Amino acid sequence: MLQLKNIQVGYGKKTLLQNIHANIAAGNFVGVLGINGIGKSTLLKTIAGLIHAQSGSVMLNEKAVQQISITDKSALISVAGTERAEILYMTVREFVAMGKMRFSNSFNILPIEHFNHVEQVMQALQLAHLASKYIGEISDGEKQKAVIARAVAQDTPLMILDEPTAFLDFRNKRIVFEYLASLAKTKQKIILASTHDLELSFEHCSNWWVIDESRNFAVCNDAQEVKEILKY
Amino acid sequence: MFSSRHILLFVVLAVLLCAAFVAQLFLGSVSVPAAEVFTILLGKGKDEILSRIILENRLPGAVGALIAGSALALSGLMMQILFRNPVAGPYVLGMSAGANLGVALLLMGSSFFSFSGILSKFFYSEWGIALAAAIGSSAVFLLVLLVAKRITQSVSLLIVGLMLGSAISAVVELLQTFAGKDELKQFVLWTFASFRHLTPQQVWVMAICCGFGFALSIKMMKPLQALQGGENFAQTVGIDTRRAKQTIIIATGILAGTVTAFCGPVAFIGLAVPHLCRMIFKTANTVTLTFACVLLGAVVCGFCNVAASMPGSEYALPVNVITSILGAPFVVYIIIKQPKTV
Repeated sequence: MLQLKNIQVGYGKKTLLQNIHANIAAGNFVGVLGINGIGKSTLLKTIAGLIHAQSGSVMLNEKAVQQISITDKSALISVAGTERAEILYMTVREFVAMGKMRFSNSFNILPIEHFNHVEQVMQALQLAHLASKYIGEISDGEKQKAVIARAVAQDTPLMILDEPTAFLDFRNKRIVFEYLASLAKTKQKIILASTHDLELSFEHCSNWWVIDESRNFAVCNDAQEVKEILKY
Repeated sequence: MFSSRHILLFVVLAVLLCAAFVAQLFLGSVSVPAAEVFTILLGKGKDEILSRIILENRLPGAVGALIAGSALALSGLMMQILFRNPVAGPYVLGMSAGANLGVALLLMGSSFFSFSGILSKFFYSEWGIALAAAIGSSAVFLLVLLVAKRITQSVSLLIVGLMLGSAISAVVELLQTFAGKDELKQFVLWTFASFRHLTPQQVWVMAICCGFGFALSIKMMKPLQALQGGENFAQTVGIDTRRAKQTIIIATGILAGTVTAFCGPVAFIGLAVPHLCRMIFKTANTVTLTFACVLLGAVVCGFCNVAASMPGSEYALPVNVITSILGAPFVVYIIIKQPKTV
């Protein structure tokens, strides 16, 4: 259960969004919608605990996210979209495996079952044939899938993805949306993904957080409602 | 754990390491016949002067150069990943200058503080000098790290390091000007530090300090792997980046500081060797890179030391001359190539 209790988010003295209330139960795939620069990324980073909320609190399973230790947090929340994936001579496999860092020993070696899960995730996102390539050599779209795979490999109850499909072609967008929706259902995860692919999100998300142009935040359970707010 | 190609490379490096060690013993400004070197090393040498050259001069120098190369390369690797900057290294970012200042304050700062009794015994020994140098280096690292937060272009960091280095040198000059005669003499003697002047005692202290630095770097292999993806990223996969940073500051300070304390400033090895390792091993795995830096750093430094002793001639050069001639063009090459990433 993820709870946003009257949070206010922004950078420094600037406030982007306020009066945000939401309760999300396990198994939900939430599309976070709104125009560029409206505060989606800042909201997601705040929920991830990467920046402090200006007020209010983010609770995950009854615990304030800000008070969870870094190590414990890595087992609860995975974040895709804030890393740089431009690491010289790092293979796609090594990159995806970084999601499992909490299981690896000091020599960066993973227990076999976790290593296998990494392969499985790459398979599901159709990355397996790229596993041994350097991450600098693959296309932007493939890189984005690697970033998603990295977050999925972390295998956490809450996944936060910032525009996971921005660079993907229509086919891969569908693959990613379908995969995330099935993960939310079968593994009872909460997935938050900001996106501009409205149609796909209507098709696959279970509910939506919508931020309108005057920065009002709304939780919608119905695609029609979303369309009205966004004048889509 | 390692691919077969990497194992082969490690074997080659290990062989080269032995070669670098042997070459340092057999080649030097004074030409000693190989057979004679052997008998001396076996403890059966008859010529006292030659024995002293080999055992008290070349042997500590050889071991010292290998340790120094490893230590500098390792600190360079950690700095490049932490700063996410391909032109980071202990020499160019002023850590050698920091070590200098640390020792200068210890040896010439008696007007500010002085030690007596057992403390003076510790502080004016090799241990005290190593500690002062390590603290000086760490302090400079911390300062650069604070400035680096506001720097976006990688080359700017180089300029900051340069400025910091010259400011620190100026402070050391000031200390020298106002130092007492005995203190000044002590300090000037210390500035002659080089591989050739290493005493066995100093090599021991250096080995123990750097051994501790190596142990810390081994502990940092995993955090460094994640830090390659940036600090926020490392945190989301469960790395305590604050603690990692603290450990890296201490480790690099010890490694770069003690080397500078006993061998003098050695330019560019710390910057260049990590890049060479990446080029040769073509990996971002920090475990592989850590061991590669230890081996290749020693190899490069060992052979630079041989070259500096100019076998066959009666002259010898400071090792810095050799590392600079090789290293400076390499840094320019890296800046021109500007790999977007480390």
